[in-house]
Amino acid sequence: MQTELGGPLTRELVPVHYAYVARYAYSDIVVQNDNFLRLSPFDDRYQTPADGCCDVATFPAGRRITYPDRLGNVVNRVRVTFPHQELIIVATGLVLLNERGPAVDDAPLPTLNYGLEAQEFLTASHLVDPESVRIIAQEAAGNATTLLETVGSVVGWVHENIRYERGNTSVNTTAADVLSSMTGVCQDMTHLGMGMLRAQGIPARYVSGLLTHQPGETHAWLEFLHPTQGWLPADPTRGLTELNGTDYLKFAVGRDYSEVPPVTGSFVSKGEGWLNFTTAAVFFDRQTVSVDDALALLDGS
Amino acid sequence: MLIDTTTPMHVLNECLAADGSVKPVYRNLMNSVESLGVEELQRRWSVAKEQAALDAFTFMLDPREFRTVPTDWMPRLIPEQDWEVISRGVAQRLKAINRFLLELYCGEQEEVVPPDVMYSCQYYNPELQDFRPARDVFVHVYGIDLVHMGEGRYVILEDNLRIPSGISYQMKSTEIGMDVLPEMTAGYDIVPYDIRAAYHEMFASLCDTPDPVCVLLTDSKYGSAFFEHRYLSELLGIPLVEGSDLYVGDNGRVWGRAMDGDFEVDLVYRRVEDLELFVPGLTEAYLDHKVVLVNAMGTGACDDKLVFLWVPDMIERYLGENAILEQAVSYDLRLPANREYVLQNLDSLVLKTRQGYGGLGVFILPDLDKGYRSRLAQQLIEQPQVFIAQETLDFSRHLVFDELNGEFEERYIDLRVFAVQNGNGEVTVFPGGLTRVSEANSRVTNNSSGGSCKPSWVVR
Repeated sequence: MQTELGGPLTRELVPVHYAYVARYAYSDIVVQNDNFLRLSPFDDRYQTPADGCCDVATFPAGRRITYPDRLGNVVNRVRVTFPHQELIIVATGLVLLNERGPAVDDAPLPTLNYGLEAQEFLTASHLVDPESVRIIAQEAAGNATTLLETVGSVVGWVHENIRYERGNTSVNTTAADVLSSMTGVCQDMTHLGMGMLRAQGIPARYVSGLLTHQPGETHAWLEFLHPTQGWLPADPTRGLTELNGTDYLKFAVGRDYSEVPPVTGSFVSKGEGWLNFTTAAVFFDRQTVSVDDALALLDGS
Repeated sequence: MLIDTTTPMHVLNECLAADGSVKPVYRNLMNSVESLGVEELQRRWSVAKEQAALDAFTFMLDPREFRTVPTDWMPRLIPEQDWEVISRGVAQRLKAINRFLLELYCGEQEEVVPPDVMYSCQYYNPELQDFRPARDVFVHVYGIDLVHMGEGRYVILEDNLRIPSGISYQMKSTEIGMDVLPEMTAGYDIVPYDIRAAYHEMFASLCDTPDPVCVLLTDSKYGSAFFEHRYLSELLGIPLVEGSDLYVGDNGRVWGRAMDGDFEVDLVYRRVEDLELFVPGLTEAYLDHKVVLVNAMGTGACDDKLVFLWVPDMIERYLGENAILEQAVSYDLRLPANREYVLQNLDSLVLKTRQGYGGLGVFILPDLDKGYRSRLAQQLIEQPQVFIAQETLDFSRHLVFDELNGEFEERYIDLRVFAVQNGNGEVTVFPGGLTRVSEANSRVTNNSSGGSCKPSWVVR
C-alpha cells in the first residue's frame, strides 16, 4: 500500500509520515487471534489524518472492521484465523501536524465547572485513582489558584521527582505504585500526573502516540480539560505544558492506559504469547510510506 | 397437611395465592402430593435420584466427581394461555435477532446497535463479513431466560444464542418425573412436543441433500454438559464426535473418521465454542459453504449482555412490531447519567458482566454484604464498560421438596425456554422449557452456579 500527499497544505500544517511495527511470538500454534488496534491518528485541532492514507495490516492477514470508539479513537479490529506462531502488526500513514496550538486563556480554579460528561475523567479509573495521590497533589499544587498554574505545578512536580527508569514498572502499574517507587516510564509519569490533576478537580485523560523526533517507542502524555477550550495536552515525562504541535503524533485517548493500548486482544492457543519486538519511525521528508517500510523496521531487531 | 396453606408464604408463589390457598391450576397436583404423603414422597424421590444416577443424568462441574443434576420432581405447571404469549414472544424475538445478525454481517447494520458496542463485543466475528449462512439462518437453537412476575407477566433476563444448553434436562426431568411419580399427571392434559422431529426437519431444511449426514460435536466426555450431548445424539440418531473424529479433507469438506471408511459430513451440530481448536480448518470450510454449522458462527454477538438492550429496537426495526415480551429494565453504563443513577441505587440493582454466562459475573447487589457491594462500586467506577446494570426483579418462587426433612420450602425459579428455527424460517418453541431453581437464599438459578431444575409442563 502506498500513501500519498494529497491537496494543498496551509503553512502551519506539517506533513508527517509514520510507520509502526510490532511482532508477537507464541510458544505454540495460534488458531485464532483477535486484536483491537488503536494505531490510527486521532483527528483533532492539533492533527489531521490524511484522508484514506492511514492503514493497518497484519501478517498473516485477517479480517478487519474499523469503527470509532466512544471517545473518538479509530479502532481497527483484526481477526486472524490462519494458523500462525508469529503475528506482525504494522500501521502506516500520513498525518498533518499543526505547528501551533491554540492560544489558551487561563481560568481561576474555584470557577471550574465541568458537566456530567467529564465526571469519568475525574473519578478513579483502573490504573489511576485520584484518592491514592490526593495528598501529594495538594502539596505539588501549592498555592496555585488557576487551572494552568495547577497543571504547571503538577507536571513540574512529576518531572522533577519521578526518576525515569525502565524495568521497574509494567502495564499494570498504578499511579499509587509510581508514587511509592518514585520511578517509572512515560506511561507511569502520565498516570501519576493524571491522578494528581483529578485529585485537584481537573479532568485528565491519557494519550497514547509517538514523539516524532524520538519515535522508536510509543510515548504517553496527558490531556486536561479546559472548561471552555476543551482538551489541552501536557507532558509530565518531559515536564512540558506547552507542547510543540509537530513533536507529537496522537493515536488514542482513554481514561488510562488500560483502555487504549496500541494493541490489545486475545488469542486461542495452547501456548503463551509475548511482544517480541516493536518500534516506529517518523519521516518529515518522505512522499510516501509503505507497509514494506514498516516491515523494514524489523531488520533492526 | 403437607403444605401449610393457612399462612401466606410469599405473594409471588407459583402454586399458592396470596391468601395461602392453592391456585386452581395446581389443585390436582397438590391433591396428588397430599395423598402420597411425606414418607412416600421421600421414597419416590430416592427412586428418581437412583434412576437419574443410572442414566448418568449429570451436570459435572468437576470431571472427577459424579454429580447428578439436582432435580425437584414436582412439576411446574404453566397454564396454556400464559404459554401462548410466551411462545409468540420467543418466536418474535428469535426472528428479529436473526434478521439483525443478517444485517450485521451481510447487510447494513444501520446502527441499531452503536458501533462501539457492537464491534467491541468479544463474540462479534469480523471474518463473517459478507457471509450468508445456509438459508439465511443464524439462530438455529435459541434459549431464552424468563422470570414470572405473576399474573402471566413474564420478563426476559437474557438471551442464549451461542450454544444454549439444557434442552435435554427439560426432557429428562419430565421423563423421570412422570415415570416415578405418575400420580402427578392425574387430571392434566399436558401439551406434547417432538424435539426429535423439529430438529430433523431443521437439519434437512438447511442442507442441499434430503438425507444429510449430521454429527454432534462435543468438547469431551469430561465436559459439564456431556450428558446433554450424549442424550441429544441418541435422541436425534446422529453420531457423537469429538474434535479428533473430524478433519477437513482435500476437497475442502468436513470428514468424519470411522472404522469402515471415512464419511463426508454435511452438518455439524456443534456444542463447542472455539471450533478451530477442535477441528482445524473448520472455519474455512464453513465460510466456503462446505458444511453447515448449528448454531451458526457469529450468533454470540447477540449473547452480549449490553447488546441485549437493543433487542426491542431490532423487533421494531425489522419486524415493525412491538415486543410481545418485556425485558428487564437495563442500563447502558457508557452513559454518564446511567452510571450516576446506578451508583446512587446500588442496593436495588443487579450488575452483570457483558460477557459472563452461566450465572457467572452476575451480582445481585441487594443480596450482597456492604463490603462486597462497595468493592463492586469501585470496579464500576473504574471500568464501567465491563458491566451492565438491571433492576432487581422480585420474581416468582415455587415449592421444592426437601427430602431429608420431609418439608416443602420456597425457592426462586426462572424459566429457560428453547426454540429452533429451520431453513424455511419456521420457528418451533418447545412447550414448557426448563425451570431452574435457585439455591436457598439466592436468586441465581443457573446450573453452573449450583442451582437445580424442575420439570415444566404446559397444561390445558
